[in-house]
Amino acid sequence: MDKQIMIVDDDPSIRETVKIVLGSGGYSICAVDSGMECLDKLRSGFRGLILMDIMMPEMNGWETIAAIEDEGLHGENVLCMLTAVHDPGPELEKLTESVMDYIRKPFTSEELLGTVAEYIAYVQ
Amino acid sequence: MKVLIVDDNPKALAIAKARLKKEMLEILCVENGEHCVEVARKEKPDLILLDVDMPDISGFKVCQILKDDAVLCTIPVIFLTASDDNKDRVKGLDLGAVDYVTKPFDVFELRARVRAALRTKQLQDQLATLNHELEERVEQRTSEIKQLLEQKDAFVNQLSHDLKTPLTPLVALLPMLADRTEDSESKNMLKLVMNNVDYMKNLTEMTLQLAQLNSPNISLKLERVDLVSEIKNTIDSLLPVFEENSINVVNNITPPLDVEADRVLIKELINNLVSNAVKYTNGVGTVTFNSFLNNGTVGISITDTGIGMAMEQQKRVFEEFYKADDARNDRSSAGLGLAICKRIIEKHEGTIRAESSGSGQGTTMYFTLPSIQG
Repeated sequence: MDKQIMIVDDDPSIRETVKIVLGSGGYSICAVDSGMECLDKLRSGFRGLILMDIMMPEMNGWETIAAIEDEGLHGENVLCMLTAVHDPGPELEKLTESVMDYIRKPFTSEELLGTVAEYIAYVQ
Repeated sequence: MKVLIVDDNPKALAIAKARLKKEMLEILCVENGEHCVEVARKEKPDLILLDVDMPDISGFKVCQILKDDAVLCTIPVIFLTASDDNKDRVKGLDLGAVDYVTKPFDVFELRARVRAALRTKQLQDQLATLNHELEERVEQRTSEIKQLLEQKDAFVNQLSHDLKTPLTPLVALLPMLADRTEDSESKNMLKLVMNNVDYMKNLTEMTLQLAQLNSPNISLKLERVDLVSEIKNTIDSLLPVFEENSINVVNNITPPLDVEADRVLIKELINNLVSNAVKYTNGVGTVTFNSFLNNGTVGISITDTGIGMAMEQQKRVFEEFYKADDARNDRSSAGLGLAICKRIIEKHEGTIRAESSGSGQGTTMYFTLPSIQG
């Protein structure tokens, strides 16, 4: 399977925006609307860069990451958080092993493409 | 009301008690100073008549003990003295007694002095009660205001947070759309929309930051920060802007200027102040940086030769959402930059002020921070 990008966000307009922006950069995108679905994709062998929203109903971004760790699904994937919080620092510091970076909303297309270009290289 | 009479002479006690019978008071009698303190503590009298000349502990000593006690000190004391000696009266009053009566008593004088002392005591008690009620009300009101302010900050926080998600498609996609548009009229329309989206984005981010700085729970990541290099970095990063606007930079900052601070916030502070200096210089001019160091305080001033400020503006420029000129409809300003600067400085126990000789006379922004030299 090629290196892919998965966007995990409960907001359809964010999923669509990420698809359009990254599509313009020639990436192939897989969009899911919940942590559960993200886990399903990983179980069926997704490999690539995961962009994950933090604030999601039922299972938030951090809970999803904990579940990924628990099931040993992290593999060689790279994780970046999408956050509307001004400074998610303290929470993020605890998870530096699993999470590469975060992108703040609202992001520009250049910021998103730049971050993806930087981290996709780390996917083995 | 309750009066405690203290005299080692039982006959004198009886006389004093008899003289006060008409006043409808509850009278307590004790024959020495030690008892006086005990009974005063237990009975909380409204007045103590205290004989000066007593064998074991003198009346002066008893008075001293009473006045040194946090609870008993509010009970007024009238000295009973046999001596006509002026020195004794002065000493008694200096020790905190409210009055004195010379033995043998003139019955009317004794009663009048007791009544006067009790009236004062009553007023004092009322005042203390009112004061206490007032303090409670102030405390209650203060906590209500604090709660309302916290609610305001929580609301603002939630609102700007919620605005960030819907802003994302606008911020990310509008420029892409503009790039793909050939028609110049459509391009102009999109530019107008994008400018306003940028304004909304800045307003949202600054409002959120201000709410966070207002929160008592904010924790600073303190580290040693060298203001000299932070200011130089900011100047360097803005060099293209200075050049584009023909602004001359004079940097007189001299080391050492080390402070213990949150680096991210200090960067933001400096960036805000320098950006303002550029913005309000309106083209050709000079921005001058100076530093001061005295008494454990670091001071930085940033002076521009720009549009300046009237006195009224200098007073209000740090208020939230204050814009110097509402009519200017300034889409590049949220009216929050200096309010944020002020919060940042306050969180670091520093001071900040704006100085200008008036409109057209340029502005100096001056801030201080506690230094950690050496």
